Amino acid sequence: MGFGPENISTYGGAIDSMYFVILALTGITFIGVELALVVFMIQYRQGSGARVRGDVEGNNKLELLWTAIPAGLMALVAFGGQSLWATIRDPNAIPDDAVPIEVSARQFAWDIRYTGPDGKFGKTKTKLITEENPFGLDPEDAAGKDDIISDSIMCVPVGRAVKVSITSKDVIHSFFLPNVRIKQDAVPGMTVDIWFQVTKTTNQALEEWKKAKTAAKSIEQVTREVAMGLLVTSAEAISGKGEEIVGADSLIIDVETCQKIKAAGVKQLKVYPDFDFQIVCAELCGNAHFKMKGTLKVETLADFEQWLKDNAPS
Amino acid sequence: MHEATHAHATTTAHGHGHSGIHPAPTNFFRKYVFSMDHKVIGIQFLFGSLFMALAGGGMAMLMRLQLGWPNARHSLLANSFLLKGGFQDGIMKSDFYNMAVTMHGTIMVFFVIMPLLIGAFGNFLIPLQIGARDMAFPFLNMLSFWTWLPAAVIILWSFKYGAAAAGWTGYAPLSVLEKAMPEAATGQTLWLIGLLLVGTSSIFGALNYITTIINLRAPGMSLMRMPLSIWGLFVTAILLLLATPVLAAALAMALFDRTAGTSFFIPGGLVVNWQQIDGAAPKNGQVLLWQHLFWFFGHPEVYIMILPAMGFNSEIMSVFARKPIFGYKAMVYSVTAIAALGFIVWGHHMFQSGMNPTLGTAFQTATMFIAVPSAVKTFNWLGTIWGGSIRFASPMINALGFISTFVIGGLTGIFLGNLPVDIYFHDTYFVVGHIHYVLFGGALFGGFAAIYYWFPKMFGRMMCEPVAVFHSLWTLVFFNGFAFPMFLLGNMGMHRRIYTWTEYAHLAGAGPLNKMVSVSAFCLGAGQFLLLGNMLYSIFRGKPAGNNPWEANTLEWQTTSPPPHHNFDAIPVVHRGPYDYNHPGASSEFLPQTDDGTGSTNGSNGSTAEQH
Repeated sequence: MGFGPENISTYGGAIDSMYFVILALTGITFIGVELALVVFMIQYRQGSGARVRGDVEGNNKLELLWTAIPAGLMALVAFGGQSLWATIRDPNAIPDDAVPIEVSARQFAWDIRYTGPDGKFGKTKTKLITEENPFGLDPEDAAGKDDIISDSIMCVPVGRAVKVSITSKDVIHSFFLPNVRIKQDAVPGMTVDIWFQVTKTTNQALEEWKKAKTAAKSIEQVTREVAMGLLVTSAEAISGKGEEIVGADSLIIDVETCQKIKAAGVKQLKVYPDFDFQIVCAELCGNAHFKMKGTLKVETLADFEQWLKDNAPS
Repeated sequence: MHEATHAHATTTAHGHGHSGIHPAPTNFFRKYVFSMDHKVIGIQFLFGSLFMALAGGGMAMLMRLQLGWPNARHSLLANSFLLKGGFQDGIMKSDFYNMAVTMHGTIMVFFVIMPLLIGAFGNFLIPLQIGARDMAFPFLNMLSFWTWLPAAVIILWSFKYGAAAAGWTGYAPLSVLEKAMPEAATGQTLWLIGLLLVGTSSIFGALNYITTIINLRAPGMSLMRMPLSIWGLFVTAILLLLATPVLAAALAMALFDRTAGTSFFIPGGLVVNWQQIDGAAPKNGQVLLWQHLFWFFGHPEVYIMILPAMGFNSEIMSVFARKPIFGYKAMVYSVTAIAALGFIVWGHHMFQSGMNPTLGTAFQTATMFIAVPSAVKTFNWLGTIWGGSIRFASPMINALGFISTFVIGGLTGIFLGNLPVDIYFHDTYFVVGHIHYVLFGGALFGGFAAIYYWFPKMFGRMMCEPVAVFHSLWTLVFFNGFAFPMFLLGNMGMHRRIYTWTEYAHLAGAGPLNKMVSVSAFCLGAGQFLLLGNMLYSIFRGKPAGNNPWEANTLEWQTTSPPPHHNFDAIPVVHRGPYDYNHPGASSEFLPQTDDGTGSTNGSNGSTAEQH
């Protein structure tokens, strides 16, 4: 079971289950209370002829009952969440073999760092931070020479735990991976460690996504959605004539492309919404907060290692 | 009225006449502007809050316009005199959106809900319901309004310079680092000043309410005979007095950080837009300190907004079910329990803030237990209408609406209070839905119920009932239409305070829900003009109300509508609790608190407590 965007983490399923347990508990209470409310409203409306119980001013047994039962249930909810919370958040619960990654948030992007082949992060100094050196790597420290730095793309291997140390250079941001069910504020002046392990690669998810979400839409509909700013239209399916017009490489459609396709007489397109696992900033962090996002790229272990090599400092 | 000519000193010194009352004002300014009369001050707060509701609501409409139709052009709005600064090429600017978000929250909390429930009804009701001539400190009461009003003016005026844009929670360091948010450089400072003033106003009010309730109750009005509305306001005032100074301290520290070069909330080594923030003297503040201080105030603040509404609701449920409130004592204890627990749950706003996860466990446990007294209240309300004879007048419709929606607000809080589930829902629209169910579905429905119920006492005239019923049902429908889909958006993972959601793959399907929220919000907003229109019309043209149009028991209904300057011709003597409806064997269907059991009532025209 799940809700919202597909869960791809080892512990996300347990969070989803906890959600459904609470949903059942609150759902039953909700229906009970609303039902009682409606029944009483009808049964005891003025003029219904029901006896008016002006003699009833309360009932201590009932008070006790409806204090004790919610208290018991709430204790269950509190304790039920505790072990899962410890799994996710206890710093000692982070697997020892987790791949270490650092995140330094800034307005309005995510700077991401890997240790490189030596397995060690180089020393940093905040005084050295510049646009070219977003972590303030100390050039004196040899451990930093092979550190890999990426702008807003976090590549992680599937099936292996990663440990992410999160901080911020300026204001509070919040590192949110909807698919992984993890969120942690990036706080300036503090570093917080979280961990997660992903169960599915981006490519696997993309194939399933295409299968499920590809739909034929009129060119007018596509134009409207594109104009709205929706990244709906990474459209592999510009088939036949369309492909000649926009070029086979151009999978993302903009308004201009839409107009070209329409002018060529294409009436319908097979499209699917753009897809990626995303890094979202969940804390208001300034003017462009709404577009502070990154990509969580999940690869097989081999592809992950290749990605590290491709991005190694020259 | 001959009292008007008595000098204050004379009446008190000689211990006769209407002791404890300042003289009735003789000129317009003293009567309506710089008034010390709690009833006039209440009405000032009422209209002040309704005016601010237009501003705060208007900002909500602008936000929903953008979120329903992202990046659409609105040439009419973009060219209007008031809004043209917020648009570029007909499209709303993102910094303007952030200002609307911030000021909507700020205005609704500090300038609508609080002054409506506490300023307007607290002032109007406390002396009338406990049988006093006025507040204990009438001058302080006047000051309370006259610090609130400049605060409101400052908050509105700040739009001229680019209003605050760091959210109503004003999280540091975004709110204290001018370089991080240059678009709101002046606005954010004015926001701090405005809130400091409004906090001062709250402290003045709270002092007054507590003193008045403790000292000025009429003879026979024991604590356990007080109407539940007074209990709600009493506990609220205690919360205000304990919590507001903490906010004031935090605001003052933030103001120093912004203007005087201190660094309470600014840690060392910050780099904003590739510029080093540390000057010659390095900063060494703590970011989380702001959150602890803010939420130490902010969580009690939620109860400050809901407890008065719960009190009004209990009052109205009993009157319109024609039955005693079910479990009066349990109601009092649960209000007190909510208030007490309310001081040890602030950390549940900070589960994902980087606070020690073990603290999270402690705060989760306290948070879960706050559901218990809330449940007790809900079940007691159901017990109150059980076996009643329910009159579906407009106050009751809103009270029933309160229960049906507050339940949703309360239950969704359990998701957010649960540590692992909150990881996902924190800072998403699930929270936005939750807060609106509590603060609109709860606090504002309580406010509407109170307006419909006490309007006849305030102005001596009835409101137009068919319009009132229509407005109440309309509001209930479209409130749910706008707030419920927010939970579903939260499930999708839509995060808060974003100017457009179109950037995100997982939100590609959020269009229809967002449109539904927006359309419902527009209908909801438009419907509120029915309330305003009805009020303005009824003040002048409504049917005369008489002393006790709802056949209620509490003291305010035992005097004229509107009450005279000194409230009661003679201080009433209280003989019974406030909810004796359909008392077995009684001669009347309702027994006013002044009924001494012989069938005669004292009060405004009956026996007096102060005979000499």
